[in-house]
Amino acid sequence: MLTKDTEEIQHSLADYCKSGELKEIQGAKSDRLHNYRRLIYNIIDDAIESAYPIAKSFINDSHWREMIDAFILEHKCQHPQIMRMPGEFIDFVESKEYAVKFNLPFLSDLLQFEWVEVIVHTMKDVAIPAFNLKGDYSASQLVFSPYFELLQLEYPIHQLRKTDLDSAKGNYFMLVYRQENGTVQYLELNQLTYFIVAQMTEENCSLIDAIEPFVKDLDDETKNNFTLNAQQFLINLQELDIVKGIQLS
Amino acid sequence: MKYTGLGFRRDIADEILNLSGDEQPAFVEFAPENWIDLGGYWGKKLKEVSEKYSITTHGLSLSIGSPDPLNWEFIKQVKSFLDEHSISIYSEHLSYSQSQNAHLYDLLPIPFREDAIKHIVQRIKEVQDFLGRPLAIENVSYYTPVAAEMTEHEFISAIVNESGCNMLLDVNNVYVNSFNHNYDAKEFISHLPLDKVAYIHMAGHEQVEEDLIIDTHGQAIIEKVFDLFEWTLPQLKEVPILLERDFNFPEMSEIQLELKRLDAIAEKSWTKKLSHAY
Repeated sequence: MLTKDTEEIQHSLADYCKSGELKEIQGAKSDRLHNYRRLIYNIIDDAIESAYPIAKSFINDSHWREMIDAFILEHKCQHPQIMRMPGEFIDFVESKEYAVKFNLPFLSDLLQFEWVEVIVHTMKDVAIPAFNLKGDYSASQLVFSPYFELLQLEYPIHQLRKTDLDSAKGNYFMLVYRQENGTVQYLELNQLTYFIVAQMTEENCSLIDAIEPFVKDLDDETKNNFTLNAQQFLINLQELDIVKGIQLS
Repeated sequence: MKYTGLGFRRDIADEILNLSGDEQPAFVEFAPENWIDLGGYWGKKLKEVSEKYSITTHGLSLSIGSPDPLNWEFIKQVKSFLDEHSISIYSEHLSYSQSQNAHLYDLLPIPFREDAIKHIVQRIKEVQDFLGRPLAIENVSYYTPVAAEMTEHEFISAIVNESGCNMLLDVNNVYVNSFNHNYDAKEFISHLPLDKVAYIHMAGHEQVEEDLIIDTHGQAIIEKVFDLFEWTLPQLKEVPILLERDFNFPEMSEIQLELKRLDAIAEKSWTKKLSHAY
Protein backbone atom coordinates (compact mmCIF):
# COMPACT_ATOMS: atom_id res chain seq x y z
CA MET A 1 0.00 0.00 0.00
CA LEU A 2 2.98 2.28 0.39
CA THR A 3 3.79 4.28 -2.72
CA LYS A 4 7.16 3.67 -4.30
CA ASP A 5 8.08 7.24 -3.41
CA THR A 6 7.39 6.84 0.32
CA GLU A 7 9.12 3.48 0.41
CA GLU A 8 12.23 4.89 -1.26
CA ILE A 9 12.32 7.85 1.12
CA GLN A 10 12.20 5.49 4.10
CA HIS A 11 14.94 3.30 2.67
CA SER A 12 17.05 6.37 1.85
CA LEU A 13 16.93 7.54 5.44
CA ALA A 14 17.93 4.09 6.69
CA ASP A 15 20.70 3.89 4.06
CA TYR A 16 22.07 7.22 5.20
CA CYS A 17 22.10 6.02 8.80
CA LYS A 18 24.12 3.00 7.76
CA SER A 19 26.54 4.62 5.33
CA GLY A 20 26.76 8.26 6.36
CA GLU A 21 26.54 9.19 2.68
CA LEU A 22 24.09 12.03 2.59
CA LYS A 23 21.81 12.14 -0.42
CA GLU A 24 18.87 14.49 -0.69
CA ILE A 25 16.08 13.11 1.48
CA GLN A 26 12.85 14.82 0.59
CA GLY A 27 11.62 17.22 3.25
CA ALA A 28 14.35 16.35 5.75
CA LYS A 29 16.60 18.82 7.54
CA SER A 30 20.04 17.67 6.46
CA ASP A 31 21.73 19.21 9.49
CA ARG A 32 19.63 17.04 11.82
CA LEU A 33 20.04 13.68 10.12
CA HIS A 34 23.44 12.97 11.63
CA ASN A 35 21.74 12.55 15.01
CA TYR A 36 20.07 9.35 13.78
CA ARG A 37 23.31 7.98 12.40
CA ARG A 38 25.09 8.76 15.69
CA LEU A 39 22.34 7.18 17.80
CA ILE A 40 22.29 4.02 15.70
CA TYR A 41 26.08 3.76 15.78
CA ASN A 42 26.09 4.11 19.57
CA ILE A 43 23.32 1.57 20.07
CA ILE A 44 24.99 -1.09 17.91
CA ASP A 45 28.48 -0.31 19.21
CA ASP A 46 27.31 -0.53 22.84
CA ALA A 47 25.60 -3.87 22.24
CA ILE A 48 28.68 -5.37 20.58
CA GLU A 49 31.11 -3.96 23.12
CA SER A 50 28.97 -5.30 25.98
CA ALA A 51 29.09 -8.78 24.46
CA TYR A 52 32.84 -8.72 23.70
CA PRO A 53 34.56 -6.63 26.39
CA ILE A 54 37.78 -8.69 26.29
CA ALA A 55 38.03 -8.58 22.50
CA LYS A 56 37.46 -4.84 22.64
CA SER A 57 40.38 -4.49 25.06
CA PHE A 58 42.71 -6.18 22.55
CA ILE A 59 41.71 -4.03 19.58
CA ASN A 60 42.79 -0.46 19.19
CA ASP A 61 40.09 2.18 18.84
CA SER A 62 40.55 2.86 15.14
CA HIS A 63 40.40 -0.84 14.24
CA TRP A 64 37.34 -1.27 16.45
CA ARG A 65 35.66 1.70 14.78
CA GLU A 66 36.54 0.28 11.36
CA MET A 67 34.87 -3.03 12.22
CA ILE A 68 31.74 -1.42 13.66
CA ASP A 69 31.41 0.99 10.73
CA ALA A 70 31.71 -1.88 8.26
CA PHE A 71 29.30 -4.05 10.24
CA ILE A 72 26.65 -1.32 10.26
CA LEU A 73 27.17 -0.56 6.58
CA GLU A 74 27.44 -4.05 5.14
CA HIS A 75 25.67 -6.40 7.52
CA LYS A 76 21.91 -6.67 7.70
CA CYS A 77 21.18 -7.28 11.38
CA GLN A 78 18.59 -10.03 11.55
CA HIS A 79 17.65 -10.39 15.18
CA PRO A 80 14.81 -8.21 16.50
CA GLN A 81 16.25 -8.66 20.00
CA ILE A 82 19.33 -6.47 20.16
CA MET A 83 20.77 -8.61 22.95
CA ARG A 84 20.96 -11.49 20.45
CA MET A 85 22.41 -9.39 17.61
CA PRO A 86 26.11 -9.47 18.63
CA GLY A 87 26.18 -13.18 17.74
CA GLU A 88 25.93 -12.05 14.11
CA PHE A 89 29.18 -10.11 14.51
CA ILE A 90 31.35 -13.26 14.63
CA ASP A 91 30.59 -14.44 11.11
CA PHE A 92 31.01 -10.90 9.83
CA VAL A 93 34.45 -10.55 11.44
CA GLU A 94 35.48 -13.90 9.97
CA SER A 95 34.19 -13.03 6.51
CA LYS A 96 36.17 -9.77 6.53
CA GLU A 97 39.32 -11.55 7.75
CA TYR A 98 39.98 -8.95 10.43
CA ALA A 99 42.05 -11.48 12.38
CA VAL A 100 44.66 -11.38 9.61
CA LYS A 101 44.26 -7.68 8.89
CA PHE A 102 44.78 -6.66 12.52
CA ASN A 103 47.29 -9.41 13.29
CA LEU A 104 45.06 -10.94 15.94
CA PRO A 105 44.98 -14.61 14.90
CA PHE A 106 42.97 -15.55 18.00
CA LEU A 107 40.24 -12.97 17.34
CA SER A 108 37.64 -15.41 16.06
CA ASP A 109 38.22 -17.80 18.97
CA LEU A 110 38.00 -14.96 21.46
CA LEU A 111 34.72 -13.70 20.02
CA GLN A 112 33.30 -17.23 20.05
CA PHE A 113 34.36 -17.80 23.65
CA GLU A 114 32.85 -14.53 24.84
CA TRP A 115 29.66 -15.08 22.88
CA VAL A 116 29.22 -18.62 24.23
CA GLU A 117 29.47 -17.17 27.73
CA VAL A 118 26.63 -14.78 26.87
CA ILE A 119 24.56 -17.57 25.31
CA VAL A 120 24.99 -19.87 28.30
CA HIS A 121 24.32 -17.07 30.78
CA THR A 122 21.02 -16.20 29.10
CA MET A 123 19.85 -19.65 27.95
CA LYS A 124 16.12 -20.06 28.37
CA ASP A 125 15.12 -21.99 31.48
CA VAL A 126 13.73 -25.39 30.53
CA ALA A 127 12.33 -28.36 32.41
CA ILE A 128 14.98 -30.97 33.21
CA PRO A 129 13.90 -34.60 32.67
CA ALA A 130 13.48 -36.75 35.77
CA PHE A 131 16.59 -38.67 36.86
CA ASN A 132 17.95 -41.05 39.49
CA LEU A 133 21.07 -40.26 41.43
CA LYS A 134 21.89 -43.89 42.06
CA GLY A 135 22.68 -46.46 39.43
CA ASP A 136 25.25 -47.55 36.89
CA TYR A 137 26.77 -44.40 35.37
CA SER A 138 28.71 -46.41 32.78
CA ALA A 139 25.93 -48.37 31.23
CA SER A 140 23.11 -45.83 31.55
CA GLN A 141 22.02 -42.86 29.55
CA LEU A 142 22.54 -39.76 31.66
CA VAL A 143 20.68 -36.52 32.13
CA PHE A 144 22.94 -33.54 31.49
CA SER A 145 22.29 -29.96 32.50
CA PRO A 146 20.77 -28.17 29.50
CA TYR A 147 22.86 -25.10 30.32
CA PHE A 148 26.23 -25.71 28.73
CA GLU A 149 28.01 -25.45 25.40
CA LEU A 150 31.03 -27.26 24.04
CA LEU A 151 33.63 -25.21 22.27
CA GLN A 152 36.61 -26.25 20.16
CA LEU A 153 39.26 -23.57 19.77
CA GLU A 154 42.67 -23.08 18.16
CA TYR A 155 43.97 -20.76 20.87
CA PRO A 156 43.91 -21.06 24.68
CA ILE A 157 41.54 -18.16 25.16
CA HIS A 158 41.08 -19.07 28.82
CA GLN A 159 44.79 -18.27 29.36
CA LEU A 160 44.72 -15.13 27.30
CA ARG A 161 46.59 -12.88 29.69
CA LYS A 162 49.41 -15.24 30.58
CA THR A 163 50.11 -17.04 27.34
CA ASP A 164 52.02 -16.14 24.20
CA LEU A 165 49.04 -16.99 22.05
CA ASP A 166 50.86 -17.04 18.73
CA SER A 167 53.06 -19.91 19.84
CA ALA A 168 50.25 -21.70 21.65
CA LYS A 169 48.20 -22.52 18.58
CA GLY A 170 46.79 -26.02 18.87
CA ASN A 171 43.56 -27.74 19.79
CA TYR A 172 41.70 -26.64 22.87
CA PHE A 173 38.44 -28.05 24.14
CA MET A 174 36.16 -26.17 26.50
CA LEU A 175 32.90 -26.78 28.27
CA VAL A 176 31.16 -23.54 29.24
CA TYR A 177 28.39 -24.08 31.78
CA ARG A 178 25.92 -22.19 33.93
CA GLN A 179 25.74 -22.78 37.65
CA GLU A 180 22.56 -22.83 39.69
CA ASN A 181 23.20 -19.25 40.87
CA GLY A 182 23.34 -18.07 37.26
CA THR A 183 27.08 -17.50 36.99
CA VAL A 184 28.98 -18.96 34.06
CA GLN A 185 32.13 -21.06 34.41
CA TYR A 186 34.30 -23.01 32.02
CA LEU A 187 36.04 -26.33 32.23
CA GLU A 188 38.97 -27.27 30.05
CA LEU A 189 38.53 -30.69 28.48
CA ASN A 190 40.82 -32.84 26.36
CA GLN A 191 39.94 -34.29 23.01
CA LEU A 192 38.66 -37.53 24.56
CA THR A 193 36.51 -35.99 27.29
CA TYR A 194 35.17 -33.47 24.76
CA PHE A 195 34.23 -36.39 22.52
CA ILE A 196 32.57 -38.27 25.39
CA VAL A 197 30.35 -35.34 26.36
CA ALA A 198 29.53 -34.55 22.74
CA GLN A 199 28.70 -38.18 21.98
CA MET A 200 26.64 -38.79 25.13
CA THR A 201 24.58 -35.63 24.68
CA GLU A 202 24.16 -35.63 20.92
CA GLU A 203 23.55 -39.37 20.56
CA ASN A 204 21.94 -39.82 23.99
CA CYS A 205 24.09 -42.89 24.57
CA SER A 206 25.78 -44.43 27.62
CA LEU A 207 29.43 -43.95 28.51
CA ILE A 208 30.19 -47.51 27.43
CA ASP A 209 28.68 -46.86 24.01
CA ALA A 210 30.44 -43.51 23.72
CA ILE A 211 33.92 -44.90 24.38
CA GLU A 212 33.47 -48.13 22.44
CA PRO A 213 35.48 -46.90 19.41
CA PHE A 214 38.44 -46.15 21.71
CA VAL A 215 38.46 -49.33 23.78
CA LYS A 216 37.39 -52.06 21.40
CA ASP A 217 40.96 -53.10 20.54
CA LEU A 218 42.42 -52.72 24.03
CA ASP A 219 43.21 -55.56 26.40
CA ASP A 220 40.86 -56.04 29.34
CA GLU A 221 43.00 -54.36 31.96
CA THR A 222 43.66 -51.24 29.87
CA LYS A 223 40.05 -51.17 28.85
CA ASN A 224 38.96 -51.39 32.48
CA ASN A 225 41.29 -48.57 33.54
CA PHE A 226 40.15 -46.43 30.64
CA THR A 227 36.51 -46.93 31.60
CA LEU A 228 37.18 -46.16 35.28
CA ASN A 229 38.91 -42.91 34.33
CA ALA A 230 36.02 -41.96 32.09
CA GLN A 231 33.61 -42.75 34.91
CA GLN A 232 35.59 -40.54 37.25
CA PHE A 233 35.32 -37.74 34.67
CA LEU A 234 31.52 -38.10 34.74
CA ILE A 235 31.54 -38.02 38.54
CA ASN A 236 33.51 -34.79 38.35
CA LEU A 237 30.90 -33.40 35.97
CA GLN A 238 28.18 -34.44 38.41
CA GLU A 239 29.91 -32.57 41.23
CA LEU A 240 29.77 -29.49 39.00
CA ASP A 241 26.06 -30.16 38.34
CA ILE A 242 26.76 -30.62 34.62
CA VAL A 243 25.65 -34.24 34.90
CA LYS A 244 22.38 -34.43 36.85
CA GLY A 245 21.90 -38.19 37.12
CA ILE A 246 20.65 -41.30 35.36
CA GLN A 247 17.76 -41.05 32.94
CA LEU A 248 14.57 -42.77 34.06
CA SER A 249 13.71 -45.43 31.54
CA MET B 1 1.93 4.67 44.23
CA LYS B 2 -1.51 4.56 42.67
CA TYR B 3 -0.93 5.50 39.04
CA THR B 4 2.78 5.73 38.40
CA GLY B 5 5.08 2.95 37.32
CA LEU B 6 8.78 2.67 36.58
CA GLY B 7 10.75 1.14 33.73
CA PHE B 8 12.35 -2.12 34.86
CA ARG B 9 15.99 -1.77 33.83
CA ARG B 10 18.79 -4.11 34.83
CA ASP B 11 20.81 -1.34 36.48
CA ILE B 12 18.06 -0.78 39.03
CA ALA B 13 16.45 -4.22 39.05
CA ASP B 14 17.43 -5.14 42.60
CA GLU B 15 16.46 -1.74 43.94
CA ILE B 16 13.02 -2.05 42.38
CA LEU B 17 12.64 -5.54 43.80
CA ASN B 18 13.59 -4.30 47.26
CA LEU B 19 11.03 -1.48 47.38
CA SER B 20 8.11 -1.95 49.72
CA GLY B 21 4.91 -0.25 50.85
CA ASP B 22 4.42 3.32 49.63
CA GLU B 23 7.77 3.23 47.89
CA GLN B 24 6.62 0.66 45.37
CA PRO B 25 5.70 1.89 41.91
CA ALA B 26 2.17 1.02 40.80
CA PHE B 27 3.62 -1.23 38.08
CA VAL B 28 6.81 -1.82 36.15
CA GLU B 29 7.37 -1.74 32.39
CA PHE B 30 9.52 -4.06 30.27
CA ALA B 31 10.73 -3.94 26.72
CA PRO B 32 9.72 -7.50 25.74
CA GLU B 33 12.71 -7.70 23.36
CA ASN B 34 15.06 -7.47 26.34
CA TRP B 35 13.43 -10.33 28.24
CA ILE B 36 11.92 -12.82 25.80
CA ASP B 37 13.42 -16.31 26.26
CA LEU B 38 15.83 -15.06 28.87
CA GLY B 39 16.76 -17.62 31.51
CA GLY B 40 19.33 -17.92 34.27
CA TYR B 41 20.03 -14.98 36.55
CA TRP B 42 17.89 -12.51 34.62
CA GLY B 43 15.16 -15.05 34.06
CA LYS B 44 14.88 -15.36 37.85
CA LYS B 45 14.73 -11.58 38.22
CA LEU B 46 11.96 -11.44 35.63
CA LYS B 47 10.01 -14.08 37.54
CA GLU B 48 10.51 -12.24 40.85
CA VAL B 49 9.40 -8.90 39.49
CA SER B 50 6.39 -10.31 37.68
CA GLU B 51 5.26 -11.94 40.93
CA LYS B 52 5.61 -8.67 42.81
CA TYR B 53 4.32 -6.10 40.31
CA SER B 54 1.79 -5.60 37.54
CA ILE B 55 3.57 -5.46 34.21
CA THR B 56 3.16 -3.24 31.17
CA THR B 57 5.27 -3.55 28.04
CA HIS B 58 6.82 -1.14 25.61
CA GLY B 59 8.24 -2.74 22.48
CA LEU B 60 11.21 -1.66 20.43
CA SER B 61 11.36 -3.83 17.32
CA LEU B 62 7.85 -4.18 15.92
CA SER B 63 8.75 -1.51 13.35
CA ILE B 64 5.11 -0.84 12.61
CA GLY B 65 5.93 1.91 10.10
CA SER B 66 8.49 -0.04 8.11
CA PRO B 67 8.18 -0.76 4.39
CA ASP B 68 9.45 -4.26 5.26
CA PRO B 69 6.94 -7.02 6.04
CA LEU B 70 5.96 -7.62 9.66
CA ASN B 71 8.07 -10.25 11.40
CA TRP B 72 5.43 -12.76 12.46
CA GLU B 73 7.87 -15.10 14.13
CA PHE B 74 8.85 -12.25 16.44
CA ILE B 75 5.23 -11.20 17.00
CA LYS B 76 4.43 -14.78 18.03
CA GLN B 77 7.19 -14.56 20.65
CA VAL B 78 5.76 -11.27 21.90
CA LYS B 79 2.32 -12.87 22.21
CA SER B 80 3.72 -15.79 24.20
CA PHE B 81 5.53 -13.35 26.49
CA LEU B 82 2.40 -11.25 27.03
CA ASP B 83 0.29 -14.35 27.70
CA GLU B 84 2.84 -15.94 30.03
CA HIS B 85 3.00 -12.83 32.22
CA SER B 86 -0.70 -11.87 31.88
CA ILE B 87 0.16 -8.50 30.38
CA SER B 88 -2.65 -6.40 28.93
CA ILE B 89 -0.77 -3.27 27.83
CA TYR B 90 1.54 -3.69 24.85
CA SER B 91 2.73 -0.38 23.51
CA GLU B 92 4.97 0.40 20.58
CA HIS B 93 6.43 3.35 18.72
CA LEU B 94 4.93 5.08 15.72
CA SER B 95 8.17 4.81 13.80
CA TYR B 96 10.25 2.25 11.95
CA SER B 97 13.46 0.50 12.92
CA GLN B 98 13.87 -1.96 10.06
CA SER B 99 14.62 -1.29 6.41
CA GLN B 100 15.55 -3.62 3.56
CA ASN B 101 15.75 -6.61 5.87
CA ALA B 102 18.09 -4.94 8.36
CA HIS B 103 17.30 -3.96 11.94
CA LEU B 104 18.70 -0.57 12.96
CA TYR B 105 17.53 -0.65 16.61
CA ASP B 106 16.50 3.00 16.65
CA LEU B 107 13.26 4.84 15.93
CA LEU B 108 13.26 6.50 12.51
CA PRO B 109 10.60 9.06 11.59
CA ILE B 110 7.88 8.04 9.15
CA PRO B 111 6.77 10.40 6.35
CA PHE B 112 3.47 11.96 7.45
CA ARG B 113 1.59 10.85 4.34
CA GLU B 114 -1.73 9.30 3.40
CA ASP B 115 -0.21 6.10 2.00
CA ALA B 116 1.81 5.63 5.18
CA ILE B 117 -1.38 5.98 7.23
CA LYS B 118 -3.13 3.24 5.21
CA HIS B 119 -0.07 1.01 5.40
CA ILE B 120 0.28 1.40 9.17
CA VAL B 121 -3.45 1.13 9.92
CA GLN B 122 -3.56 -2.21 8.12
CA ARG B 123 -0.52 -3.48 10.00
CA ILE B 124 -1.83 -2.36 13.39
CA LYS B 125 -5.11 -4.18 12.73
CA GLU B 126 -3.25 -7.37 11.80
CA VAL B 127 -1.06 -7.22 14.90
CA GLN B 128 -3.99 -6.45 17.22
CA ASP B 129 -6.03 -9.31 15.75
CA PHE B 130 -3.18 -11.72 16.29
CA LEU B 131 -2.29 -10.55 19.79
CA GLY B 132 -5.91 -10.38 20.92
CA ARG B 133 -5.11 -7.03 22.56
CA PRO B 134 -5.17 -3.44 21.43
CA LEU B 135 -1.83 -1.87 20.65
CA ALA B 136 -1.03 1.44 22.33
CA ILE B 137 0.88 3.49 19.78
CA GLU B 138 3.28 6.14 21.03
CA ASN B 139 3.92 9.55 19.53
CA VAL B 140 7.70 9.48 19.07
CA SER B 141 10.25 12.24 19.30
CA TYR B 142 11.89 13.06 15.98
CA TYR B 143 14.67 15.36 14.95
CA THR B 144 13.66 16.11 11.39
CA PRO B 145 10.41 15.67 9.52
CA VAL B 146 10.70 13.51 6.41
CA ALA B 147 8.63 14.21 3.29
CA ALA B 148 5.64 15.32 5.34
CA GLU B 149 2.39 16.08 3.50
CA MET B 150 0.35 16.74 6.63
CA THR B 151 0.88 17.73 10.24
CA GLU B 152 2.11 15.30 12.86
CA HIS B 153 -1.14 15.43 14.83
CA GLU B 154 -3.20 14.77 11.70
CA PHE B 155 -1.00 11.75 10.99
CA ILE B 156 -1.23 10.34 14.50
CA SER B 157 -4.96 10.99 14.83
CA ALA B 158 -5.76 9.30 11.54
CA ILE B 159 -3.79 6.20 12.47
CA VAL B 160 -5.33 5.92 15.94
CA ASN B 161 -8.88 6.58 14.76
CA GLU B 162 -8.77 4.35 11.67
CA SER B 163 -6.98 1.40 13.27
CA GLY B 164 -8.92 1.36 16.54
CA CYS B 165 -5.69 1.19 18.50
CA ASN B 166 -5.02 3.01 21.73
CA MET B 167 -2.58 5.82 22.16
CA LEU B 168 0.41 6.03 24.41
CA LEU B 169 0.82 9.75 24.98
CA ASP B 170 4.46 10.56 25.64
CA VAL B 171 4.27 14.03 27.13
CA ASN B 172 8.02 14.52 27.06
CA ASN B 173 8.07 13.65 23.34
CA VAL B 174 5.43 16.29 22.69
CA TYR B 175 7.58 18.82 24.48
CA VAL B 176 10.75 17.72 22.66
CA ASN B 177 9.04 17.91 19.27
CA SER B 178 7.40 21.24 20.01
CA PHE B 179 10.84 22.62 20.85
CA ASN B 180 12.65 21.01 17.92
CA HIS B 181 9.97 21.89 15.36
CA ASN B 182 8.77 25.10 16.89
CA TYR B 183 5.10 24.44 17.57
CA ASP B 184 2.78 24.89 20.52
CA ALA B 185 2.74 21.76 22.68
CA LYS B 186 -0.69 22.39 24.24
CA GLU B 187 -2.30 23.08 20.90
CA PHE B 188 -0.71 19.90 19.56
CA ILE B 189 -2.11 17.82 22.44
CA SER B 190 -5.56 19.34 22.05
CA HIS B 191 -5.66 18.00 18.48
CA LEU B 192 -4.88 14.41 19.50
CA PRO B 193 -7.56 11.74 20.04
CA LEU B 194 -7.35 12.11 23.82
CA ASP B 195 -10.22 9.71 24.43
CA LYS B 196 -7.94 6.95 23.07
CA VAL B 197 -5.07 7.62 25.44
CA ALA B 198 -4.53 4.45 27.47
CA TYR B 199 -1.05 5.04 28.80
CA ILE B 200 1.28 7.98 29.49
CA HIS B 201 5.05 8.22 29.39
CA MET B 202 7.10 10.86 31.16
CA ALA B 203 10.86 11.24 30.90
CA GLY B 204 13.83 13.54 30.92
CA HIS B 205 15.75 14.76 27.87
CA GLU B 206 18.92 16.56 26.96
CA GLN B 207 19.27 19.81 25.05
CA VAL B 208 22.33 19.26 22.84
CA GLU B 209 22.15 22.37 20.65
CA GLU B 210 20.50 25.74 20.92
CA ASP B 211 17.57 24.50 18.87
CA LEU B 212 17.73 20.74 19.42
CA ILE B 213 16.67 18.43 22.23
CA ILE B 214 17.42 14.69 22.17
CA ASP B 215 15.00 12.38 23.93
CA THR B 216 17.51 10.54 26.10
CA HIS B 217 15.62 9.23 29.14
CA GLY B 218 18.84 9.91 31.01
CA GLN B 219 17.93 13.03 32.98
CA ALA B 220 15.31 14.20 35.44
CA ILE B 221 12.01 15.52 34.06
CA ILE B 222 12.17 19.29 33.60
CA GLU B 223 9.60 21.70 35.04
CA LYS B 224 8.14 22.60 31.65
CA VAL B 225 7.34 18.94 31.00
CA PHE B 226 5.78 18.61 34.44
CA ASP B 227 3.66 21.69 33.60
CA LEU B 228 2.55 20.18 30.32
CA PHE B 229 1.71 16.93 32.08
CA GLU B 230 -0.34 18.77 34.70
CA TRP B 231 -2.18 20.69 31.97
CA THR B 232 -2.90 17.49 30.03
CA LEU B 233 -4.14 15.11 32.72
CA PRO B 234 -7.57 16.64 33.42
CA GLN B 235 -8.43 16.04 29.77
CA LEU B 236 -7.78 12.32 30.06
CA LYS B 237 -9.42 9.39 31.75
CA GLU B 238 -7.41 7.67 34.47
CA VAL B 239 -4.57 5.71 32.88
CA PRO B 240 -1.22 4.32 34.02
CA ILE B 241 1.71 6.72 33.97
CA LEU B 242 5.27 5.58 33.43
CA LEU B 243 8.49 7.26 34.46
CA GLU B 244 11.08 6.26 31.85
CA ARG B 245 14.65 6.27 33.02
CA ASP B 246 17.05 4.27 30.89
CA PHE B 247 20.54 5.26 32.00
CA ASN B 248 22.51 7.75 34.12
CA PHE B 249 20.53 6.49 37.10
CA PRO B 250 20.46 8.66 40.22
CA GLU B 251 19.84 7.29 43.71
CA MET B 252 16.51 5.50 44.01
CA SER B 253 15.43 8.22 46.46
CA GLU B 254 15.61 10.76 43.61
CA ILE B 255 13.62 8.50 41.32
CA GLN B 256 11.11 8.11 44.14
CA LEU B 257 10.67 11.88 44.30
CA GLU B 258 9.79 11.99 40.61
CA LEU B 259 7.43 9.04 40.94
CA LYS B 260 5.66 10.61 43.90
CA ARG B 261 5.35 13.97 42.19
CA LEU B 262 3.83 12.38 39.08
CA ASP B 263 1.46 10.35 41.24
CA ALA B 264 0.42 13.40 43.27
CA ILE B 265 -0.36 15.39 40.11
CA ALA B 266 -2.42 12.50 38.77
CA GLU B 267 -4.27 12.09 42.05
CA LYS B 268 -5.07 15.78 42.16
CA SER B 269 -6.10 15.99 38.50
CA TRP B 270 -8.29 12.94 38.44
CA THR B 271 -9.82 13.31 41.87
CA LYS B 272 -10.87 16.86 41.00
CA LYS B 273 -12.29 15.59 37.75
CA LEU B 274 -14.30 12.93 39.54
CA SER B 275 -15.71 15.39 42.09
CA HIS B 276 -16.80 17.66 39.25
CA ALA B 277 -18.57 14.77 37.60
CA TYR B 278 -20.55 14.09 40.74
